[in-house]
Amino acid sequence: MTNIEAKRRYFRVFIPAMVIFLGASGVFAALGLDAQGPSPAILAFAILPVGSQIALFVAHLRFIGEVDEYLRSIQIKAVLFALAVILIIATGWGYLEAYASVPRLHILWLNPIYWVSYAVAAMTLSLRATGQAE
Amino acid sequence: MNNIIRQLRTERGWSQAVLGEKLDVSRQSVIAIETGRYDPSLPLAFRISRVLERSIEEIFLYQKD
Repeated sequence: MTNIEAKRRYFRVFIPAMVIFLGASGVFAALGLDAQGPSPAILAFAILPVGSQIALFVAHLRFIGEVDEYLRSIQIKAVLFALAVILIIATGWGYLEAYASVPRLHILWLNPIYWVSYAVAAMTLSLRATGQAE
Repeated sequence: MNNIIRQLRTERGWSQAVLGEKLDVSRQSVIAIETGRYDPSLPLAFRISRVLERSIEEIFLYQKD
């Protein structure tokens, strides 16, 4: 399995999974479904974004296992950086919400913050090491 | 860890992409290894040694930190 094939396999899952996730999130936001209570229909609909995220992480795990060792090290560092960012935000902002009455940060934001942090870290690490982004 | 991969590669007239193909790694990985920013694993070091037809000790120059 070459790196290019691994990347193709990853994006074959990543793109539809992200479309489903964003589409489902958009439907939730547009219809204000959360205001109607957790009906069976809403719970069933919530499977879509959750399922897409599971597929995405399974694909990412497979991708990390398929690329060469140097690219794997970049991926692992980027994932760890993104995890650190969301844990720091969740912890720091969580304490502020609990004890300082700061505005509420919806937990859903942790998802895009994770992916943006991961993307920035992966790109920065690639550029720093070789002068070209992967 | 320093190495003479770039020198051995250019002696053979290979591009970084060609060496990457021979080693089954990305061009990025070749760049990172050549510049000493990434130390390869032992299996990859053996592959490099075989492809460049030199011993690991000849290719990689170990320096104590």
